[in-house]
Amino acid sequence: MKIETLTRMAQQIAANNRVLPADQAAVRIAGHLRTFWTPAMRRELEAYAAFSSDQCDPLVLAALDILAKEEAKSR
Amino acid sequence: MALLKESDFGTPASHEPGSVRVEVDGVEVEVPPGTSVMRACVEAGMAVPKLCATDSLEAFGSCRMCVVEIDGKKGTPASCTTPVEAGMSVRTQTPRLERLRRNIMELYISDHPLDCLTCAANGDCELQDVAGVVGLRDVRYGYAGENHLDSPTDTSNPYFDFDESKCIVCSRCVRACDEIQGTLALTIVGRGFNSKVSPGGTSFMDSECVSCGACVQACPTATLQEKSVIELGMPTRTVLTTCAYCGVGCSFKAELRGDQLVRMVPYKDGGANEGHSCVKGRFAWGYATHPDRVLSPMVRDSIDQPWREVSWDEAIDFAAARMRDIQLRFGVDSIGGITSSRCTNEEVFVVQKMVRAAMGTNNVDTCARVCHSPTGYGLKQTFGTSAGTQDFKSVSKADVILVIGANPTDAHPVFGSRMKQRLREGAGLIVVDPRATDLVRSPHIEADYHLALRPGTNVAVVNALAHVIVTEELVDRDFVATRCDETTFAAWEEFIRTEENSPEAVEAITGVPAQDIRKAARLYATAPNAAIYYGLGVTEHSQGSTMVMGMANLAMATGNLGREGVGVNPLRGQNNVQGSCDMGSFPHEFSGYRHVSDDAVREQFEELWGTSLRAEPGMRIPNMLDAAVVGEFKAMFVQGEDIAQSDPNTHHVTQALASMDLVIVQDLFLNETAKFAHVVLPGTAFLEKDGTFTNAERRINRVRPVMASKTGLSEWEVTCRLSTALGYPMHYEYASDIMDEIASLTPTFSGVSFELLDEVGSVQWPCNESNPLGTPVMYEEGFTRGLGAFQLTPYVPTEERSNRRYPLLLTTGRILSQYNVGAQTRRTANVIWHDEDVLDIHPADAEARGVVDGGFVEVASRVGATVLRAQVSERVPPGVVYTTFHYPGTGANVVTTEYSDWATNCPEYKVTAVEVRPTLQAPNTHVHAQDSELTAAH
Repeated sequence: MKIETLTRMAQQIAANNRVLPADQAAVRIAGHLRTFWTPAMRRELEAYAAFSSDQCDPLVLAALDILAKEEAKSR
Repeated sequence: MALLKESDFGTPASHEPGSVRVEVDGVEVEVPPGTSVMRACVEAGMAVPKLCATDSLEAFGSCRMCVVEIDGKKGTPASCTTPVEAGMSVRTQTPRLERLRRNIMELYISDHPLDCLTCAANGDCELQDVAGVVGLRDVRYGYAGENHLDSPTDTSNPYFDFDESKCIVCSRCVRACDEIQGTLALTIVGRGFNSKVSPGGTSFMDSECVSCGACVQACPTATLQEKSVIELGMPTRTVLTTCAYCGVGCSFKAELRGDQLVRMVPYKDGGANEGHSCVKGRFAWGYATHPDRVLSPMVRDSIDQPWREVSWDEAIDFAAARMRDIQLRFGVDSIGGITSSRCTNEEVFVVQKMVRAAMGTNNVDTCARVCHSPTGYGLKQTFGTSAGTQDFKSVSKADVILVIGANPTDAHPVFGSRMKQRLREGAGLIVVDPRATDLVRSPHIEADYHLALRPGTNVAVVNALAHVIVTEELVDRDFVATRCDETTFAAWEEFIRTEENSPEAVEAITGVPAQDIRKAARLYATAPNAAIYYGLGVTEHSQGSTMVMGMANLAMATGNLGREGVGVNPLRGQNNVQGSCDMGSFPHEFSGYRHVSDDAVREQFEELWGTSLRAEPGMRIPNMLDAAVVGEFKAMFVQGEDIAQSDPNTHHVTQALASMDLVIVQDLFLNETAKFAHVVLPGTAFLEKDGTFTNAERRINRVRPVMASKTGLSEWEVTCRLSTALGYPMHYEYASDIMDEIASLTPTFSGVSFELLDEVGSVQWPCNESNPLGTPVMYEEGFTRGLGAFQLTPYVPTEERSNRRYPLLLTTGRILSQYNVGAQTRRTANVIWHDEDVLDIHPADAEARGVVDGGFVEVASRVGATVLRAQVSERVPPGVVYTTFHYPGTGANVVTTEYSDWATNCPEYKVTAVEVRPTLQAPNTHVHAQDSELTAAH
């Protein structure tokens, strides 16, 4: 998928969870990505965020960090 | 079965508590207080002759045919208007009564055509029946006196005739239009001998009549008669089935002569509709046998080639070989499928099974993605499952009705009529909608508050309503303390109290006066029973899911859940939206809304299906289309959905379809999507289906085959063959076997079987050991998730904004006579009411642009432009324009954008910034963004 689409979707998810304290919001966003996004979509976003973190919402980055740690743990 | 005629008790049932014992012709009978003598007589097995009475209407007492004698009472009272009293002794047959009835019948017949043998209603005429019952043998007055026999017949309606010469002025049609439908299109004009039924002094076609058929149903003679009966003759047998249009899911008696369907008559014992219908279900079924139907499978190598008719085997082998080849070349997840809310639960279940088990991917989604997916998300987050909380009947107990983003009188007409009945009894009404729908103001209906918000600001409004409820101490603390999660409530209360959520703060955003929101909030919160009904005006926004959660919060905060008359009720667009979602059509869920990552659930499916299943969610429809455009998604199986017309940003959808190597369409017609298809697998119309639909109130209804499949196969058989050709053998003997499998895998359906449905009519899930006959009202004791969870609902404006170039906001919807993309209704006589989509524009906006009523306008958004005929109307406020999406030629979705709900990707159909200007171009002109003068201007 186009990375613009994925980042826009992620940004939108972050905007709708920003009302929560940052740590809770990150957990919520991570849960959303885990529940509804395909692994390929998550991987594409992770890959983009790894090189363009300044283009990503901090809450999205925090959520991706949670997912990465989960994945590392499950290996 | 033989022709089914329901019992007619003459007057409606009384629901008063207690019982009264009366004697009828020596037979004792016990009935509730308030029951009419007429009904008690029927209960006792002593039916009284009647003409103006029928049990769907209040007693009227005009024909005097139902007179009885009652011990201790003077004269011969009409049994329909006389309530029972304890100890009453009634006689229905005495020489005096017989003489009286015969005399009355003589008068009726003296002014009635004596053409019984050639009359269309011969054998189905109450006048004829009663003449026989009272023993009428001659008419002493003769037939030469003044009469109405030369009165004209109004044939203007495409579906029924009005033959005045046969009218006995019993007023049943007038009362049906009033009491059942609530349109009040009919009246009695003139006095005495000159009294006659009139559709407001004009023809039926030019009147307010909405062609629901209630008058035809109520008519005891051939005065109001279906044209199909006049042409084909009286039906001789009945098949009970379910309508294939909206989410109300009305039960119908399909009445046939041999294999010829003559008419569809609403079924009185149908739980959803209780004998009522709308113009679509009652009359617009001709598409099922339309010559445009595709009846043979077709294939082609590429979309620029002509179609080649082939055998089922060849089509299925062609499709399977291509899919396997694509998966080998591009990976397992390069293909997927879409299920349809127009198909039965059984048909949907096997498609998602084929995708998961045979294709080996979770890339399955359903057309509910583009309508009610936010309902699934929002209600699951708050209550624990995705379903409306009430049955339709519940609205009759509501004291205040809050209608948000729904237009039930057009889109869910039979439920709309139920709602209007309650409103006319005095229930309060709050309408939240940018447009002045019929509910805002129509005969005998007027909203207490019409919160005409700016499109896209629903969440700001619902938050402001909640703010008032919290800050004015209107919260039902007992309900919240006992039924809801304390922590989430505390967080929500703190959030909603903030000044930014006050009506005064959001007034500038929503355009709704703060005082109106305050008054509406008080009305909703202080009602003994307040119910929320909502539609796509809630879900089809970038914050659709947030809004669903906002409404659920509102209901929990005020304790409006868990009993009759309250609740949060999605009005589903298509007949089986609820069912297609229940059946595991979403890429992340198995049937019963259980996530694919749940090992225990997945193992259950794996064991029964004998294959391993993926534990990660697949792609949603928009994801599949996006992936197709960049070459990552190559093949799609599309069951009964025309995404090239119904999905947003037509240019993007068609670009995606054209990018795929294989598109398989299973449909009745060569629709817009089929233009991009390589395989067409002809589908079956609802009249050919055997299965179940689940309506918006979770009611599982049987769909029974009225006629044999015109394609030779059921749709589920085709899916099974395709699955088998893909290497995953799938076989069922009967559709009921599929339901048995669904029941074995889905806890909320565990008690459902065709056998049960055939026995009890219908059930509402959950239907299981705890609720063997289903659950009309949910959450009477607890929520699916235990305690209700309040969710924070910040207002986040949509990215789609009006500006100087696109100063108007376009919102879309549907109209009474047409249905969704129009594939069905455009192939019926319903086009007489709506033969093109038009653009509603406010007079001020029209004048500012030089737009005249009836003139053509170009409507341009950032993504495309189309041409529509303008309709200058005050139904839309300044700054808002509205159109429907029933015609592919004008293609409303050419201009809608890909903005979507943040949680579910449900498209934001309801907010598109546009500009409108007069044009000399004719409709059917689509312009892509880069070619439009308006869109290219920047």
